[in-house]
Amino acid sequence: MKTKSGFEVPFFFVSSVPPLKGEEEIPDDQIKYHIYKSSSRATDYISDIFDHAKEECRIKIDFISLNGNNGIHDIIYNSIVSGDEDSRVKASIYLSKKLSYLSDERNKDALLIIMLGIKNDTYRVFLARFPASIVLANKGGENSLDLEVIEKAFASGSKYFKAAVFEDVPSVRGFWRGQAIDKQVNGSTSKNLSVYWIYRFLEAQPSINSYQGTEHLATKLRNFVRFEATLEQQNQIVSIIPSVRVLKDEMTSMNSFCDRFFSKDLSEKVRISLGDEYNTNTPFTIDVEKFISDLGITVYHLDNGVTLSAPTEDFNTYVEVEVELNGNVKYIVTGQVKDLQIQKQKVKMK
Amino acid sequence: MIKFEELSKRYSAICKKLNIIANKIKNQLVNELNDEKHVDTIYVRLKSVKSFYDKSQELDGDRPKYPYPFRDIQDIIGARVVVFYTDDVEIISERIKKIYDEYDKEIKTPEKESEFGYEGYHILYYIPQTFFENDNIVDLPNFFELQISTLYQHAWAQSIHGLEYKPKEILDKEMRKKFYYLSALSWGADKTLEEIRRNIKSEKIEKLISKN
Repeated sequence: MKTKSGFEVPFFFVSSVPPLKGEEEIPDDQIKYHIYKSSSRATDYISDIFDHAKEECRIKIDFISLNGNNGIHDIIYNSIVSGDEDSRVKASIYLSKKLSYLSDERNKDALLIIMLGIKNDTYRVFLARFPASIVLANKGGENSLDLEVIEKAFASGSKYFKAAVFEDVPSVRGFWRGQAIDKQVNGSTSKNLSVYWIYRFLEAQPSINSYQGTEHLATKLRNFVRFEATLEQQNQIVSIIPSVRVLKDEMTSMNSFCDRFFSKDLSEKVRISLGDEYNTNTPFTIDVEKFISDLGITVYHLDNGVTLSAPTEDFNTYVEVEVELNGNVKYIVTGQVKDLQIQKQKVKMK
Repeated sequence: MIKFEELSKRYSAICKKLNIIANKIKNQLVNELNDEKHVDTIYVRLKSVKSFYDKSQELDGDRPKYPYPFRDIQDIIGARVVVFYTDDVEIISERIKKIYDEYDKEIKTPEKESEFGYEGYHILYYIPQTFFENDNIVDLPNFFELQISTLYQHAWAQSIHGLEYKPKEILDKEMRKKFYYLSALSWGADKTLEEIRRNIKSEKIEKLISKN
C-alpha cells in the first residue's frame, strides 16, 4: 500500500478497543484485530489523515523519560519501527490492551489504528483512536475483527478522533518527540480525555518552548499581582524575583515553579489563574531575564535592608530618584499607604 | 465541496477565538520587534469568510485542492512584518524563530525569470499551545502564516491585491507588459536600495578606519 503523499505502508493495524473500565485485562487472543494488506474505503480515509497527520496534530509532545526510558517510546522504536511483522503485531496488541484498559465509562467503543509509513529514510508512526459502534460479539472468528465493522466506522468520515504521530529517521535517539490531537464533539470535556490520551496512554506530555512558557507564566503572575493578590501575596511574589535567577537553563513547569517558590495557599491560588492543565504541567526552560521583564515588577534592595518594588511601567511616575553627593540614592515614592489606616502623600526612603 | 452556508457557520463559531489568537500574535510580534529600527509595520489579519470560501473552492485538476478547508487552508490567520531592506528579512526571521516553532517555510519567487509575480518569505508556525487554554474546537487552526516582506514587496502585493486580479487570469500582451514593468520596478527598487545601503555602510567603515 502507498499513501497519496508517497509513504509506503508496510503495516496497517486496526483493532477494537472496548472500554474495560479498569476491569481485569483481557488475554492477547481476545483482542480483535485486522491487518490491512490492500486498500479499501476505510484505509483510504485513514491514509488521508495519516498524510496530513502533522497538520492535524496541534499539540507537540515529548515522551516522559524515566532514566532515559519510556515504555511507549520503546514499543514504537523497537517494535513498530525496527521490528518484523510479528513483533509489530505483538506491540500493537499490547497497545490495544493498554488503551482498552485505560478507557472508562466516559469512553465508548472504539477502534485503534496503528500505521507505519516509510518514505526514503523517514519513518512515520501514526496512532489514532476513532469512536465506533463495535459489537463485541462481531462476526469475525477468534481474534479477527470483522471488516464490515471497520468499513462502517469510517463510512461517514468521522472528524472526531484522537491521534498521535511520530516521525523520524531511525536512530537510538529518535522518535522522542511527536505531535498529538484530541478532536472531540464536546470541547468542555476535553481536559480529562486529553489527559487520558496524551499522559496516560502515550505516556507523553505536551511541549512548550522557552519563550511561550516564560511569557505565559510571567503574564499570568503579573495579572494575578495586579488584580487578585492580597498585599501579603504581592510581597511573597515580589520576594521571589532575586531567587528566580537560580532557575537559569533549568527545566521547570508552571506547577513546579509555584510549588518551589510559593506557600501552599498562594500556590493553589496562582495555579487557578494559570488555567489549562496541559500548560501548567508542561516543562519548559525558563528564560530568567524575560521572566523578570515580563513580570513587570522592578525591585530595588537597598543596603539598609529596605526593599522597594513597583510596577515597571509606572516606576518613573511614582518613584523619583536622586543621587546624593555621598553616593547614597534617595527614592521618593508617591502614593497612599494601603495596609495602614493612614494616608501620606510622600514616603521618603534612603 | 463545502457549501458557503456551512463554511460560514463554522467560521463564525471560531471567529471570536481566532481574533483572540490573532491579537496575541500581534502583541508578541510588536513586543519582540519593538527595538528593530528597520521594521516598518506589523499586520495580523484574519482571512475573510469570502476569501476563505473562494480558496476552499479551488481545484487541483478535477479534485478539490483543499478537501478539508479548516485543516488544509493554513493562512486563516496571516501575519506580515514589513521591513526596510532585503537583508532585514533574514534578521527578523532569526528573531521570530525564538518565539514560535516553525513548521515549514517557503521563499516565493516567480517560477521563470521572464515572469512577474509576488516575491516573499513565507513561514508557517505552530500556534503556541498556551494560546488555546482548554479550547478543543475541531475547526481551530494549528498554524498561522507569517510573511516577511520589504516595503516594495508589500507595496506590490497590496496594490495588486487591490486590483482584485487573480494570478491565473489571462491577460492581454499590453497588460502583461505593464505587470512585468511594475513587478520589475519593485524588484529593482529593493536591489538598488540594498546596494546603496551597503555602499554607505562600507564607506562609513572605511572613513572610520582611515581616521584611526
